[in-house]
Amino acid sequence: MGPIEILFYTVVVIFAFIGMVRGSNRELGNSIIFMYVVAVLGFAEERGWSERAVQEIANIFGADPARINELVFVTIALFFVLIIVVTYQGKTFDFSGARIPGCLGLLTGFAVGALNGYLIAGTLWYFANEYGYPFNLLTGGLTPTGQFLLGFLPQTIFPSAFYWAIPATILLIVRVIR
Amino acid sequence: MTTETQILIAFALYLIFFGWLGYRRGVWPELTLFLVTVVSWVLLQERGSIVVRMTNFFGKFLVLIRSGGLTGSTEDALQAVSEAPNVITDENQYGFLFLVWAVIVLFTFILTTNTKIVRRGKHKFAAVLLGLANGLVFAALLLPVLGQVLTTIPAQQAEAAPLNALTVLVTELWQVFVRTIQNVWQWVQPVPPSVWLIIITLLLVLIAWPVRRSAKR
Repeated sequence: MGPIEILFYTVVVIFAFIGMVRGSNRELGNSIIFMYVVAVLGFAEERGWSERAVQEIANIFGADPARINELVFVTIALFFVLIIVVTYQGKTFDFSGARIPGCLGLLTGFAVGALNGYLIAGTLWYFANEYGYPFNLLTGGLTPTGQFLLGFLPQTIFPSAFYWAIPATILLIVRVIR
Repeated sequence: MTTETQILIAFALYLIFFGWLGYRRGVWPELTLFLVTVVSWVLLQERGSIVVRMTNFFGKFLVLIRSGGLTGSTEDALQAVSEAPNVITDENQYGFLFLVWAVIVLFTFILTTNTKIVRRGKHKFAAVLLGLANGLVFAALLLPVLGQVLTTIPAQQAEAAPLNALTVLVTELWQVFVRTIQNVWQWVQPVPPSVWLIIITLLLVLIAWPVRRSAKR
């Protein structure tokens, strides 16, 4: 397997193209949800809530304590992927039925899609890194580029992931006051 | 066919393109573009140091704000300002002025394309002539810069395999692009988290605003 950042770039580009096809008006609704989820996950992770919750559940079911990292990562990843599927499948805070026409529409869709891809791939990468790359997700060490990018993931770009709630709330206000 | 003939045909094609562009855009947009391009170039060459000093002053002002000059200790802030290097140095001055000129020209081109801002006019022949004049001006100003990339392709290589020459050109331009991004990245580092937050929020609001407006209609 190649460097993990290649996978990160690939996911970002795929979501950017999805955004280009769907249009920024629909993608912005997903962005609001993703930014709030990143903020809440970061908030819970900073206080160790997610880890403690999974630990408790693992104790109830008698899971191997040595595999707690894998369990926490799988729980967070499944929760996050479930939200991604639901937001892309169901109703979100869509801005309107009308998308921006022409090249500008394609460009803005691409940009917002790339942001969504960054939030998704970046969050999964961050938690994989936090829990020691369980299930041999990373066989070798991180490349210098990978080390560099770790400082620019959604959870590390700001002092606290809860900062993502600010653009999400502003977008929500723009959405509501129309 | 001699090299001179080839150069003449290539140059004629280039001018025809600009003449056609002038015909499509109209006389007043082309005249505005021509005047802004030439005047801004001359002014930046002759009086560019004013723009450089203003940019450096603004850079120092940002350092003053970041070091708490408006709220904290005045001595510390003044020391930080005096120690801060100039944003635009003698080495990057030419590149900076070229960038300023390019931004002015690009904005003028976009603004003059809008018929609500500048009407097209009826003098089609004059528009073609002004289009040709713009082509000549851009050739004179841009070719020396583009030549730094184009000269890396030997003429024999270009004649023997045109697609190979195109690959070399695209690769070279891509490397220039990557190096520029890396230089800009190193120049702006470190970007405070608050700046990232403002950039992301502003971009999202800018994208969301027209969508919101279209929904109102």
